[in-house]
Amino acid sequence: MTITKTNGSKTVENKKARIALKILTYFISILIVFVFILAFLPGLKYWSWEFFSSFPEDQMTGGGIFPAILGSILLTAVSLVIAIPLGIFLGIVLSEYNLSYIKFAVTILSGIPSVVFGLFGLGLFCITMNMRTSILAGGLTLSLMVLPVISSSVYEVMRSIPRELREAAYALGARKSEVIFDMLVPSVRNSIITVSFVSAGRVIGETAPLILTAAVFYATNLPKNLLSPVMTLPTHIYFLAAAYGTKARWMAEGAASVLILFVILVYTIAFMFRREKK
Amino acid sequence: MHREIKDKSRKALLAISSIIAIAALFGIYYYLIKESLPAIRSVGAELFFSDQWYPVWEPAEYGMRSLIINSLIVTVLGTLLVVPISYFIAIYLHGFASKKEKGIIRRLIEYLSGIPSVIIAFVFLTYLSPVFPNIGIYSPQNLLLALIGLFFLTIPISTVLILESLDSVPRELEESSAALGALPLRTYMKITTRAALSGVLNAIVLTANRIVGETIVVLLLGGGAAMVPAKLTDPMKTLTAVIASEMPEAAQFSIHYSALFVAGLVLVLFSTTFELISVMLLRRSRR
Amino acid sequence: MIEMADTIERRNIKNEYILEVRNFNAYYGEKLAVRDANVKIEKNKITAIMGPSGCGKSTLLRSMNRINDLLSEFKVQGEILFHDKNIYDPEIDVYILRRRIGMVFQKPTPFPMSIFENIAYGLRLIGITDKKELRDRVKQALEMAALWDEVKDDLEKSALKLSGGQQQRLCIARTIAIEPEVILFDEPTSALDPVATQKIESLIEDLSEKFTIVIVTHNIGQASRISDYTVFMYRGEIVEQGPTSKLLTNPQNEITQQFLSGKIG
Repeated sequence: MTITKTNGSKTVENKKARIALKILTYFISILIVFVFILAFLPGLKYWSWEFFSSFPEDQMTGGGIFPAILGSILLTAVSLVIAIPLGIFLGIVLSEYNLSYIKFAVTILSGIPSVVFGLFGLGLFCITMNMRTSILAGGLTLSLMVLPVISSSVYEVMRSIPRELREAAYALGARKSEVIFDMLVPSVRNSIITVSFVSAGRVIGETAPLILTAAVFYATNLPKNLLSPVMTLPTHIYFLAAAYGTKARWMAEGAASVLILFVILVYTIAFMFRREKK
Repeated sequence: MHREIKDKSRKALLAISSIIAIAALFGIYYYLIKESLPAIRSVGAELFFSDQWYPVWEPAEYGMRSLIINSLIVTVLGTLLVVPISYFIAIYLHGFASKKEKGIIRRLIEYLSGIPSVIIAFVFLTYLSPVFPNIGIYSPQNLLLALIGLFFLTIPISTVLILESLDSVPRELEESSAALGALPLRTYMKITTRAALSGVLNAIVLTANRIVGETIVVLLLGGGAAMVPAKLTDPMKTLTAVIASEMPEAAQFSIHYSALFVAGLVLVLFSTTFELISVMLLRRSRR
Repeated sequence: MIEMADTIERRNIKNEYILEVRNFNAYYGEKLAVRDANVKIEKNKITAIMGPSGCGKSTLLRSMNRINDLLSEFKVQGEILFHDKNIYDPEIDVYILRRRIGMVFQKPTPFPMSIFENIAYGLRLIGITDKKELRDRVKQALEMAALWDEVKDDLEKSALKLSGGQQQRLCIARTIAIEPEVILFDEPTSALDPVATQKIESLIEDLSEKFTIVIVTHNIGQASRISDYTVFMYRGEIVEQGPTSKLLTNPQNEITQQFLSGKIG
């Protein structure tokens, strides 16, 4: 019966293809895990209370990364406080009001390189609005940068709301704004939390725009107010890698471990909220 | 009354957010153009036709042609490297992997997408860069190293975008192909991919855009030479790297400062082009 | 390469029953979708599998060309014999099996290519690469599917631009081009308007001269119009089966009677 398997059979051919693809996928996956390990483990041995609470000393051969941690937290907070509400509103506009020119603008904005946002922030906030190198300038720049990302995600989330829910809400005689804010948005609360945490992960890791607008290589004091410059974890790692070579490598490794931990934590929380509780 | 106020203020907030988005887009273009003008006026066409980028010499030269070419080289090569591999990974996850495999690997890739570029750059700089002098390559930072870093940076978006496109193809279409006796790989590559084509092309465009806009990876891993690399192991610098590394030192309102804005303008033109292509592709898919 | 041995074997079929379902059970995970089915499918006849939604008729049909294998957590017990060989035997090459037993789905599924390429796809799968032969067989298939006259002037047109009924006839042409022995139809007209439905029904009747047809339908009228033999299923079990005229006019089982009179389904 020729529909049985033979040496050159299709079933064997399929198996070969499957194995080849599996090897490729697993190989790349293992490499990815390697990268995570190399980023996280070497720095762990430098973790200590002193490391987290002191300023860098002795040309980066001693001390700790406290100002960088603080700076990262402040900058992230400032930019998210602005970007998340704006992003949610913008996402609502995109999904509930069919204005193609706004969709278009957001799409173009979402593709603009981060370093160009840095240039814009430098020109507008630092110089024209005279904020100099400051948390405020950096925060505003980052919030503009992450705004398209948040609003696109919120747009997708709102779009996925089943039609019946929308229709039921309108059928109750509610106005459009009430339908949106009192019924639709709460129904996707968890997804919006996910989006917020993912954007936090994004902001924590940004480097290029901050080099231009907010970060300094070495701050002698803690930031006094929003108009002070800061150190952040990613910019600190960058400066160490670019300018300091092997003597300061230990500090970059330690900082990298901290940064990765933050990012993994934030993303894990984001994934937890992904499914809406019905 | 209370209801009225709530309604009005909510609408106001929605309007404000829209205005900010549009203002930001125009603002970025406006500032880039405005700050570029001094350099364009005083340096002129030399900006784009000369390879000599020596902004801190006497006399200073501002030829960014090699920087532009380098940005393009990195984008083309990087995309060519990432997309085929992520395509086949996506095919495996879409059609061959078990649910558990797919979930775990996808989760791993999504975590990777969150790793800051500075950390990826740092890891490869620390562990891979020193290998080059040991095997006889004089430049520890070079195009190849940058491409490797870019690969890990962009594998997540490329894979996830392609995977989502493939997954969105109706199952009946794949079943029809299988019902004719087609092997799964053929079904996925000929039928599913074709049906998801605009999504796959969109993934390519967005990956390219991500690469052209990447700063830290190419800066730390590519080396410092504002020259077009003759081979993969030559160092090179891109538009993004030059902006990030030189702007903090550039005197405000100097020609150097302005020339860097020109670099930013070129970048924005590239990325706008990519995004326009993406918009067209997505419109096509909404047949 | 075309399986020449197949062609010879086909002509030597001894018994009239080309497919036989024996004590067949099908599971989606823990859920039993088909329970203890026993049917014999007669060659060159049209057998209808009928029943209310959820009764397992599609599951049974889809088990005949093992397209259900594509779903994870699908398990079977029992046998389905094709030329006296169990198609679930591990020795069977399922990809070749599917070229002998073809399937047309409920929703028309034209590939996103030209009309010509849609049909050439299957032909290339069985090894036909010669351009002239491809063109001849594409024309043949379209003629047999009663679509040739409507599309002959522009075979390069995208198949997606055809109407629903035309797309379904294209899918039929695609299936018959590779000359299977059996064609399985899974509610082929439920997504079509009455005019297109009628065209497809008469096409299926014509096709039964060359092919063995098994058609799933929830439409009693359709079963009575075109089928020779009807199998009635309810909640996963075959409740009653027999020659169509007898089953529809004089059903023995009470559930069958209720379905036919519209009380269930």
